[in-house]
Amino acid sequence: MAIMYALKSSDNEIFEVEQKVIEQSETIKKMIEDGAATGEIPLQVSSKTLAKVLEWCKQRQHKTVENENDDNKGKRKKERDEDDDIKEWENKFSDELKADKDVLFDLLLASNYLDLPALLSFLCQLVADMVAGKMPEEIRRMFNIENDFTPEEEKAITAEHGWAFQP
Amino acid sequence: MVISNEDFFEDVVYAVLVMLPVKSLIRFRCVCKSWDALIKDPKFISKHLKNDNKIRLIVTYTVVDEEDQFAYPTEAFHLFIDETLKDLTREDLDPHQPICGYFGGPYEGVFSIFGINNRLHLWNLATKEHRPLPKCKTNFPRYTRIFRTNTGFGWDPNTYEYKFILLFTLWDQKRNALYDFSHVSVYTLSTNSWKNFESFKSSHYHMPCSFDCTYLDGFCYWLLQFRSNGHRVLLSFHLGEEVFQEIQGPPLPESTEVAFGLNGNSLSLLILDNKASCLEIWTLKENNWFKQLTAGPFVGIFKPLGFWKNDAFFVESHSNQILLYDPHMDEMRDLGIKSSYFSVYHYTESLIPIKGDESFLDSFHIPWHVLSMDE
Repeated sequence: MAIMYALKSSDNEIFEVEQKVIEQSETIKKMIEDGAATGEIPLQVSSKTLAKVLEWCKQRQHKTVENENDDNKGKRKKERDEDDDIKEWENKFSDELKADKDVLFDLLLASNYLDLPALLSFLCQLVADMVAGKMPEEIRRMFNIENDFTPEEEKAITAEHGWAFQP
Repeated sequence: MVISNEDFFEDVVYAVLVMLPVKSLIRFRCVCKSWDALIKDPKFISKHLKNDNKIRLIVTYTVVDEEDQFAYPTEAFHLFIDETLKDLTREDLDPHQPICGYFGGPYEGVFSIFGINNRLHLWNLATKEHRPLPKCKTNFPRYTRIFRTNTGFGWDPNTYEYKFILLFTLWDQKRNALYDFSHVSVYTLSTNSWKNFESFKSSHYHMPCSFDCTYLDGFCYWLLQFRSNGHRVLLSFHLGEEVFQEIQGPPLPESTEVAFGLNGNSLSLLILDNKASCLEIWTLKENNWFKQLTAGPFVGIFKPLGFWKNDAFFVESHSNQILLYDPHMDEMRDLGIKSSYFSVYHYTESLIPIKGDESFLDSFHIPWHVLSMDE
């Protein structure tokens, strides 16, 4: 019987989760080890974001368990098929986040707060894919950055590397 | 470790930018001054290069015109677009080359080109920048001439500078033999200037016709052989300390075919054991060589070419194919080029600034024999 923990979101919603799933978060793992986690574990994360975090953790947990049960023979072959499944899941997860920028940014903050490096680097790659083809103006809007170049300065950079501004 | 939101967003921006292709980054220099400064920062540029996922394959090979037996063979120079090599589409790099000539590298995304116009150029394929280098003024000993020139390139961790190295093997015209010492000249990218070094004793090495430099953590490495017993030896040059050192190679029969390079992040040799028809990967860990992998036996392997990702490697077959072997799947894959004299290179897009002052354009001339001559 798996040990279950109750996580409480900042808007007081309770999530029942297996220990193995939430222990991927170094922050929660530490709270459990320190004995601070009797009863509900209060977290500074909204229920909407926490649901996404747990969705990610469960998928990762699923993958690790399956790999442990494999013997080495034929493992790579099997991994390849599984990789396709995971890719498909990740694509769906990514598409949802791409559609809602606020959730994506909240999730980034949560991955930092909960100390989930794998999720953090996954999200950074996602943001990188999202911004790679964009123009400077779109980037400023997306990250709330003020353009502190004079028009002349900006023109100088654009003129020097014209090819990089072609689609 | 958990950090405050503001610092954290700065870290996220950094982590995101490091993953981006060069074209996006050049465009994003326009976003704001702090992004512009970051993207031009040497430490960022160096970090941006260290992403193994971005490594792509460059293959060169000789093309012979079967119709015209008198035509010179030409060299094809192709980049595979897909870094996973699932898709084998490749791009011909020849039309992108700023000048015609023999290329060295790529080192950290930068090529050196010995131009047929007697100029030495550096060329960054991703930023499309290139720079003719100023004249390298070296005084060679009397009665010697340049026999062969080899190159190296890397990042000096002491000064955060990129340096380009020329190793000159000299011919002693009086003795009609190789001169006992080699000369070294080092070019620093940021100052656009050359520095000459004390020559180093090289007569006990057999210097192969072309030997590419492998760069790792502040050192350039070249694979050589001792003249006396044919044993392999790595010659290393520390770009900060500017000293040479030797690392003995593993005990191998003299005639063994060897390819040298980075397997993952380790200096490694790919060896074809002709007797057993097996391929072996030997890796250097803390100055000791150990055999990391044995694959095979195979039929029809002509020679090892170099490493790819996750212990995979390239070989050339007797039937003039380039093959990629994946030891995890135990699978040999044909990359679909039928030719000979293959060479494989790892290419990573880089932001290293090469653009030079146009006034250097006419200042560099090297004599024709620098381009190489054979024994």
